[in-house]
Amino acid sequence: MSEVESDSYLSLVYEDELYDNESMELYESQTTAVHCTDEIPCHKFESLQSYESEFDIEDLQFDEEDESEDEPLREQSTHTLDKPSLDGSNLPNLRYESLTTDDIFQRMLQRVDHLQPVLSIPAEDILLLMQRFDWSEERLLEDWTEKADELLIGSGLKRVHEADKEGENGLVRGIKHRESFTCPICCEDKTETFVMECGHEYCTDCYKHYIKDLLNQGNIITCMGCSLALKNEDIDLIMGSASSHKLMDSSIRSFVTKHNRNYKWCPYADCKCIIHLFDASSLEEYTRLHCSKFVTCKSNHSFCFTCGYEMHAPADCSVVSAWVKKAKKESENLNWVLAHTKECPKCSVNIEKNGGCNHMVCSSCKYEFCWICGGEWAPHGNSYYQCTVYKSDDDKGKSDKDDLRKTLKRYTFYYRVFNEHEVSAKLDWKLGQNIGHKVRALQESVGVSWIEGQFLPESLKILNEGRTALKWSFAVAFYSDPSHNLTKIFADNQLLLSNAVEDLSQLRQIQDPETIMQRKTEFYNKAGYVENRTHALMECGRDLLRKGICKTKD
Amino acid sequence: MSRIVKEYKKIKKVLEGHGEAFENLIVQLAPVNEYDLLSWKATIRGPSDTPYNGFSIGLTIKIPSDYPISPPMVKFEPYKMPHCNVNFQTGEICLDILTRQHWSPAWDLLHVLKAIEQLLQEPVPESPLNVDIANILKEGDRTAYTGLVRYYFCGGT
Repeated sequence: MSEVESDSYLSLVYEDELYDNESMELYESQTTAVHCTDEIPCHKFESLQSYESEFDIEDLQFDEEDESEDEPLREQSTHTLDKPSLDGSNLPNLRYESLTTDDIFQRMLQRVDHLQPVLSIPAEDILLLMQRFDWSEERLLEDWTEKADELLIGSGLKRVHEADKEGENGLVRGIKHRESFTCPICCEDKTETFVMECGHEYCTDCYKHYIKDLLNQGNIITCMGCSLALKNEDIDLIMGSASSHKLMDSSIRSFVTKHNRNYKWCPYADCKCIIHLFDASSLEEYTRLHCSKFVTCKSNHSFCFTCGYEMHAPADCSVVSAWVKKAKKESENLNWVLAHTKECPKCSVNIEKNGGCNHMVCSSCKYEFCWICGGEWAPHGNSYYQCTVYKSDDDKGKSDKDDLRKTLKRYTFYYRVFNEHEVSAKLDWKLGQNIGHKVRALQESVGVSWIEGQFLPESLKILNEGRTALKWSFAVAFYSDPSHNLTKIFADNQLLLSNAVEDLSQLRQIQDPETIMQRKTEFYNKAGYVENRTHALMECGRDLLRKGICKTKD
Repeated sequence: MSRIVKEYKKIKKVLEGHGEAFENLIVQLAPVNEYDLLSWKATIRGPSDTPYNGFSIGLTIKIPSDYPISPPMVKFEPYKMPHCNVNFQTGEICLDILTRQHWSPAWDLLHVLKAIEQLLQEPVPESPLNVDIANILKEGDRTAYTGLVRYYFCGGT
């Protein structure tokens, strides 16, 4: 490494000079030994240990910078992976909270209570208006002050000719029991009907079918014959209780998906949590610095706010998406998806067009765009339609394929390692499922306090984080220029972390509680080492990205 | 099921001359055969103040099993239909009331034909399926529009 370069490498150059000779040696062994650490000779491992002090210095610096990041849900104060994203000084402080649809709905109800004295109409009606305005108080009030009457009619809360007809039919909304009634929808004779002020009367069975169909859409449900709205109490009356709750739930859901800049669903299976980022405007800063905003939901699932994947440092979102796409590329499924779908230009969800015109509305983010050119729809509506020429995707596809073949060999290697770490992580995770029992066993058989036993789950957490970082580091390595020095240093860092992780993982195999307690310090030391290595690897990976050595091309 | 039977009876009555509103529109509206009420054929007259005036236009209607909860599926068939909201290849119609989201069980087949008549009278070039015709309409070129439609109806391909 030349003198000139070394200036720009900051701390990494320092490391590099320290163990330059060994690092090259390690790098050479890396390609073969990285996933079978047992075979690495002992002396190498010892030599790695000696660097520990050096990294400690590095980590002390990080700790000082840690304060800039605020992570309310994290208990550990110093060493957490999503903390400073390692050079935290420049990163904006993004606060978030973890909610459920119920929490949001409760908040909306509070807002309705606030609005009630202002609008002085029943709370039920305000709820309906809020639903219509996507739960935006501001837009509702704006329209209310301008044209309250029109608004009420448009939302189906008031009939167009209410005044003339009211006296005439005097109909009261509700369920009626009739001796004989032929429902105009099913044309069968029914006894139980539901009637609204508009006079449209249908049997409750038809209404049930009709409402059931619409509950999941989250829109206001109207009378089948006109636009008069069914209120939540009406829906509950017809369907039985809690049905309107389902409607509100879907309405809130669509609110969340529409506001996907600030609200994100926890991507974990069956997790109902929603992360609400208070100020998403500085999220771009994270992207610019190749960092990711990792959040943790109420159920303790951590994921990247931007792309929804698990914590994927040192890789950034673009590396992750490129890597994952590549991984799927071979499968038939993806070929089909590529052939038949396009990505929503805004939220990148894959969309299949199964009919209808070219005016597309993304079902995920509600973005309206043109199927042909991918541009926003709004200008298409008024101006001359210019999207008659299809963009040829073929050329791009071809070069993609060539690229794939060229890099296939290299890729297969990295993918295999990536996969192995994923499998190991799963095993570790399974092991961790009974961590509670283990801690309890410690308490019972050896007599340690609960707090004292916490080193066990703590070390498991660190192990998982280390593994995850290691796993994603192979995606970074794959996209990095292999001839560059920094890539080699990165590979060294991978190896060091890999060794540290395997070492800690081995400790975790111990079943006997007494032995565990005896080796407690070892747990501490090794977990600490894994943590340090993880930080170092992340820092190095970010350097690769920042300097443009790691590029995803497509 | 009894709903579609009722509708069939009503339609028969209307077509026998009691429905003034439909006299100018519907030439024929009947199931393909009497034993299967889920598959219908219709022929409508092109509305008078449109380029379709004077032509008979064929439609096929498929009734879904959960009708009227789900809307009927309507297509222009067997002839190709030059219209900016109709897919020229398949005859598929882009009409909001025929989608599950906007359909109301209170409507019936006569409403549907009425809505299609309205679509012929007032094409919506803002959401086109047939881009060429939409462009002509946006340019406001009535002559070209009429010419093109007539060309297709008089044996063009």
